[in-house]
Amino acid sequence: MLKKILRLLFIDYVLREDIAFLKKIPLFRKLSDRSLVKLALIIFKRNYLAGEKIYEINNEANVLYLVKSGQINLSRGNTNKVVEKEGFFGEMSLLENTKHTFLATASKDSELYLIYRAKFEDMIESNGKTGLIIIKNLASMFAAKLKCSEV
Amino acid sequence: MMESTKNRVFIILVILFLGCCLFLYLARTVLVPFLIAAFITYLISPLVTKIQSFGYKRFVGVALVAVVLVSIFAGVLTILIPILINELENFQFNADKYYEYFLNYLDSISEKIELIFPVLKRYNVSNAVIFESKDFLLYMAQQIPNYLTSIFSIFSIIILIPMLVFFMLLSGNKCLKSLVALLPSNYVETILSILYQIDAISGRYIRGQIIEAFFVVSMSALALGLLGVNFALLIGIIAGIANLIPYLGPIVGLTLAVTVGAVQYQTFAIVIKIVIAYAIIKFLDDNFIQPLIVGHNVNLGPVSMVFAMLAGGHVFGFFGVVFAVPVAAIFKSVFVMLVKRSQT
Repeated sequence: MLKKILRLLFIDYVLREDIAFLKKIPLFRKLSDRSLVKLALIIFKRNYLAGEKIYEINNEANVLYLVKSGQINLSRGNTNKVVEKEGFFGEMSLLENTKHTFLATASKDSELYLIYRAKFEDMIESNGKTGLIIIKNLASMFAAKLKCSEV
Repeated sequence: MMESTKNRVFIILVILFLGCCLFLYLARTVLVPFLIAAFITYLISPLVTKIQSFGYKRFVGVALVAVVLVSIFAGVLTILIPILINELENFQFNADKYYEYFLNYLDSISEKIELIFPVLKRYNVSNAVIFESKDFLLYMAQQIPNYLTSIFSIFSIIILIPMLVFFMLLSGNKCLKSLVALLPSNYVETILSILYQIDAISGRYIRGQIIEAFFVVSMSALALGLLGVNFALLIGIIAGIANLIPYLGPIVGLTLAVTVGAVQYQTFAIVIKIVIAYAIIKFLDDNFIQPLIVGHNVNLGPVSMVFAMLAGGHVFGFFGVVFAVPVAAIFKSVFVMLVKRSQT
């Protein structure tokens, strides 16, 4: 009983929920809980209504977006992509200072978690292993995409 | 919230921000404890975040850090305050004697100079200088209590500043997160960049300045103590605080130490020794401490730095001088970033 009360008093359950969510994101696969907590601490949360624009083509890109709930539509000309719950987009901004090449719109009411590149870089600078795992995950995802396009 | 509503909220936020700036300018005299609290918060918030990263609520980190820091602070004060009180009493007791010594010292120097340049005696230059120095010294001595009471009232030190630090630490970046949640989508990424620049520059600058000030206080007190100069700790503390002001700071400590040393020993040798000691401190600071403080260099030219300090001092007094450099660096960096972005 006392243990339960102490846990309720001292443990940050919102942070735990965020970690549980981050664990489901393929980009953060194999990361330790400690690295995930550090990541959760630099997250900004934003809500979007269905139909609301998240960013437009050529807007500055320095944020990685994680979809906590809802659905996001990425479009450019005739190309359309849908990012569902537990998906992510804007990952190129983690690699370089660039501009958005898609228009992102919330197709349902959505909650997004935002990770700002410079904060992310600070975090992985202080822990090289975390950075290496994320870059490996990112590389394997790009490789999978390339294989798909070759087929 | 729809985009148009967020745009309206953003415009209202900008107007509120400008209103706040104007209000802060008008209420600048009460800003000091808040600035000091922000200074301390910036210094210790990484420790709180570190504890939070073990999965605990933020208040656990704040409580732990508060207990540890208050214990350390109390321990250090218990050792230093008796020494400091002793030095202050000694200074108060000997102030007349030092004043007399100083005037005699000026007299002897002026006689020597007049022997070398007899023309000075004809125009009575040395007497005029001594008269002005007397006036200046008396004026400065009379102003010391005013400076102390205006900068740090007992209420500020004992109650207000620790309370403000506690609440600032506890709220962490909640305000920032709420602000980001309210911004219109189009501005989110740009404003995050600006906020990060502000955070990075001020955080590094403040931590750097505090580390340097501690270094200067301890090294000055140690060096002057070894040389047997009176009020070593008092001069060290003043030199450390003055060190917060670029360019001017190091000269203040040196001048004070040389004056006290010269009056105390009445020899030129002590002046040389003190100058060498301060040169060594400066060398160690430049080559070992500053390289450790990543990003301490705020990338401002000397002219802009001096202008910022003078302007800051004119508007906000002593603390305006101290905070002018990081504020100017933030303005410069944000301005450069926005110009670059508008060009691409």
